[in-house]
Amino acid sequence: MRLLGRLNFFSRMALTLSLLLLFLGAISLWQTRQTIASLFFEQQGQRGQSLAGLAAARAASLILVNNQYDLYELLRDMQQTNADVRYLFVISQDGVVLAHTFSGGFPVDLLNANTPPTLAKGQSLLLDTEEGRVLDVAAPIMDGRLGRVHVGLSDRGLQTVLADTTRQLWLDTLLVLVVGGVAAFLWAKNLTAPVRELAQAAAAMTRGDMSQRAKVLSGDELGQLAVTFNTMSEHVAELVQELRRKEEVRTLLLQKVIGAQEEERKRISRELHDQTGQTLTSLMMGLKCLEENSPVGSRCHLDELRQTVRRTLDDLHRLSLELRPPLLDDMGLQAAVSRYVEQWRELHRLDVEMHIRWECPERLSHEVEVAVYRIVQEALTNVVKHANASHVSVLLRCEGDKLSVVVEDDGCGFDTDAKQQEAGDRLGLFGMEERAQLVGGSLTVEASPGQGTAVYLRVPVRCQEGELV
Amino acid sequence: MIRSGLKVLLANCQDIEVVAEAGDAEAALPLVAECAPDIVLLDISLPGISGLECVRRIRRDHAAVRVILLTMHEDPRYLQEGVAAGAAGYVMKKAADDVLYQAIRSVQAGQLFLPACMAAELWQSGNGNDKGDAVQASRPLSEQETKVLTLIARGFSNAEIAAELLISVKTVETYKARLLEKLNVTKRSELVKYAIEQGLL
Repeated sequence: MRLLGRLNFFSRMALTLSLLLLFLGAISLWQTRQTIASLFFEQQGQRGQSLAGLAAARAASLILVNNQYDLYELLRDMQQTNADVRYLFVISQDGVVLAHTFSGGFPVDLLNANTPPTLAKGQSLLLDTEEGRVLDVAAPIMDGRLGRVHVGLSDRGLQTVLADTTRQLWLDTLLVLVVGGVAAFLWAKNLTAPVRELAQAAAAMTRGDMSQRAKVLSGDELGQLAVTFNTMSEHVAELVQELRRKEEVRTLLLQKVIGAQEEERKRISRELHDQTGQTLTSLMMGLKCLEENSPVGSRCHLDELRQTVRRTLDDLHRLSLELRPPLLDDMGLQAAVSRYVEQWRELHRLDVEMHIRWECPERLSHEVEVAVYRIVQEALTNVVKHANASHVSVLLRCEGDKLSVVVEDDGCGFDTDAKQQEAGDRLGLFGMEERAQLVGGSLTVEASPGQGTAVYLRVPVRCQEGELV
Repeated sequence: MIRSGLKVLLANCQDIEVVAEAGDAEAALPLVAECAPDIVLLDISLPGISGLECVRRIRRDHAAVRVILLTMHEDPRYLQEGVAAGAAGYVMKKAADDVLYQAIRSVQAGQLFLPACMAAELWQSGNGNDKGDAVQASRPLSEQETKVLTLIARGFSNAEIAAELLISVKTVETYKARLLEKLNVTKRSELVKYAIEQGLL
């Protein structure tokens, strides 16, 4: 049944039809053969009886005068005039063979093969011999007082007829099969044409060709289906267009938002770094100066103030780094990521190792550098937040025109298919994917519970000659 | 702002005299030529021409003038770049109040002045960051394991390796676990390192 389901409509129809025809042919052949055989045997029986009766009547006088030669002639004559007579023989009442037509001696087992219950009666019996089936008909001579005559009729004639009939019937069946096959083909083609039309249109839509419509070939149910399909595809085409437009707008918006955010971070970071940092440094130096020139009593207090300023400067520095590391703009992705990984290691006391293989010009485009840096940052943040890992690898590989980043941990992992992830976590992954896509890259996350998590990032890079901001 | 602070700080010292000051590199370079100072205190982050470029130019044009970089940056890479550019000293702003005099005197005496903590890092990165021994396979890797290792090192994801070698993702995970065990390592980065050492890439 499963095999049948795999065939197309036409093949299924043709196969069913052929099997039906074959079945029909076989049944009719069997029935015809049965009918012919029974008719033949009935007729042969009657012929055998009349032949045996005739032989018995003519043999009676010859037996009475004991003319064995004429008796033999009679039998031979009868055999020669009847093609289907295999043999004739006469046996006396005592079971002695008086005459027979066997040229090579009388077969003894034939003597008792067909023995009628009483002498006065005849009997027909089918014998299986090495020459095929033989109908042996026994007829009494003078009511059995002079013995009986046996006539053996072979069924060779029947076999010939049967073979002819069978061949004819097979030929007929074959003819019907061919005609039926052609008819089935044409019919199925006609029947499936609208369906195929629909399938083609649907396939075109799947490929993204929204202009394809199904031809309406008839007004029946299939025709209606085609009309409905066309309406649907128009609708889908509109929706897809709308979706694309929205996607474009969204991407543009996202790009703007991210760009603006990065710009703003950079500005604030610079401001903190350059302006506020300068001020605090200056304040610190002023305090130092004051400290040196003041009486010993207030020095201690001034020193404390100076330490407070120093700590504030430290905080400021960290804040500025988090917002946007100047290293990323000044020295590029490799340096910034390495530095971030080092700081991350010190901060979280985790075994993280970084491996860089860089066979590109030093600097990549600004957007790519920022996006990759942020994605690595997010991936490592996720490791701290969720993974409970003990070993982490960060691999940065830039070769030819593609940059590949892998962040892998051996932590608890998660089920990537699970729907019950918290919305916030999914948003993080989603954000990473979005960022990757905005620079034409792709992001894959591979994880399974207990097996750790690996984030793979691929970005095509257009190399940019040393851009120092 | 910082310049005034510095000036006050330096004025405190009898053996140091501030001969000139400027807000950016464009203004500073002619002043260096004019005043021929012993030492220039320079911020790395400058508007316009960067501090590092400024160091290069000063060193190129006035080899006798020594430069001390004064900066917020704590990253050793800046230090490295600074020293490479020809700076003789590197002072972080948060420590300026304490070490500035010392830095100026050391540099004046012809020595290099670097913050101790960063000098250590510089030394380390200069010697390459080879930590620990080279990875060694406890048992030889099979052909298939080597293939998987090569693809891992080339940054393929498990799914991609599975597709490449026509095996299941589960099998890839098994191979990876076996690789980690055979090489007696814990991280992907070490696998990559081993692959590179073996010349698989």
